[in-house]
Amino acid sequence: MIYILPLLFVAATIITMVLLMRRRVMKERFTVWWAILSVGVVVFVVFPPLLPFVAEHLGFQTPSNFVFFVSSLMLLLMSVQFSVEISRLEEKTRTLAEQLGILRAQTEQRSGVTTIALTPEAAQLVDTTTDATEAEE
Amino acid sequence: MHLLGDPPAHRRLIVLPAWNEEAAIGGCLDEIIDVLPEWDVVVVSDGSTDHTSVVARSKGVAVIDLPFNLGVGGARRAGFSYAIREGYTEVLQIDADGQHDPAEVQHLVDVMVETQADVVIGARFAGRGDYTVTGPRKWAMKLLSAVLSRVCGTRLTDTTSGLKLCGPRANDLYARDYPAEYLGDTVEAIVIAARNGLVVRQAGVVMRERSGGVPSHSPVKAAVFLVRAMMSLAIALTRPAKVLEQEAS
Repeated sequence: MIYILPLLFVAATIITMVLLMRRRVMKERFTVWWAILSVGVVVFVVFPPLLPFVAEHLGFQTPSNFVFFVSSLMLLLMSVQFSVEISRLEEKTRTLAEQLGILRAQTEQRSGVTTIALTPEAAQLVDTTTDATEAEE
Repeated sequence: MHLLGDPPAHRRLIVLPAWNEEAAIGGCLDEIIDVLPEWDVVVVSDGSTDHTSVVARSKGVAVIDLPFNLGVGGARRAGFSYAIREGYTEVLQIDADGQHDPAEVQHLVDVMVETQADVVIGARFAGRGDYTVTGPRKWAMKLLSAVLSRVCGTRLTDTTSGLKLCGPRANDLYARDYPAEYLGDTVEAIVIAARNGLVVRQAGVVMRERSGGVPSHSPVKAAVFLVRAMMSLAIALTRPAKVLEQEAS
């Protein structure tokens, strides 16, 4: 007996991954998990007695428990991977923001041109505090 | 760092992180410029949405305008990075809330010269000043001080102080590795310095009341502070200290 539904699922997963990679909206390293998952599903679908056999020998009372365990474990690992990626991205963004701020400050100092807009209310605020800029010129 | 042939003279920079401080920053800068005329000042406007950077510019000091809020750790690291690029040898980190008295800075410099330290912390509870903290927050700070004193091999009484003087070696380290997380910029930064073989010392200073904001005395907040401080400390102490070696290889 052949299970059609899981095979359709695997086919859909692979097609989606390939399409996403072709459009460069997903990096290869994120497709690894889905590839592993697809291979696993195919193996268990092709040999239906394998699933109860493995589940029993690993100490699971029902094969479905084994499937749920493995799938939630994979989701957990994927979210760890995402957390790491997000942290890396945040660090890169921070560094860029710092460097941008420093470059702006240096450009301003070298050229003497202020890169922020002096709105009327800002100008008023400056006038009430000091007139150091005028004194310098 | 002195590739351009400049003699490594003492060039001193004050880094003043400010986030929406348009009301306080002007007076703070006036005081600093008045008391410490030989120091250059850079204000790091940490994604301020008010006119902090306009006011700072009007005082004639350099302003680093961060495009969005990075937290005080990020602002300080930007300050270190700027100091390295502009060839400063000593960097003073100071808070814009008026708690730190610029008149105390000379004392930090004296201690740095005297002890050959790379980092000098301006510390409360060190015999000078009458600043007091009570309850769980006090225990947390005591515990932090005890652990960090051991790590640094010196007596530290105020490890969460934001007033710090850093020498060239510390600037170089911090420009590359300065934690941005809450408490990272104080507690973890000290651990990083000690782990990389820098000399950390403290100088007792008198601190004033903050000009804005009320210090928290809520027990819940103190407990959260304690837990976060311990986590920050645990992570910092178990982190591999490989920053300097990596850079060298």
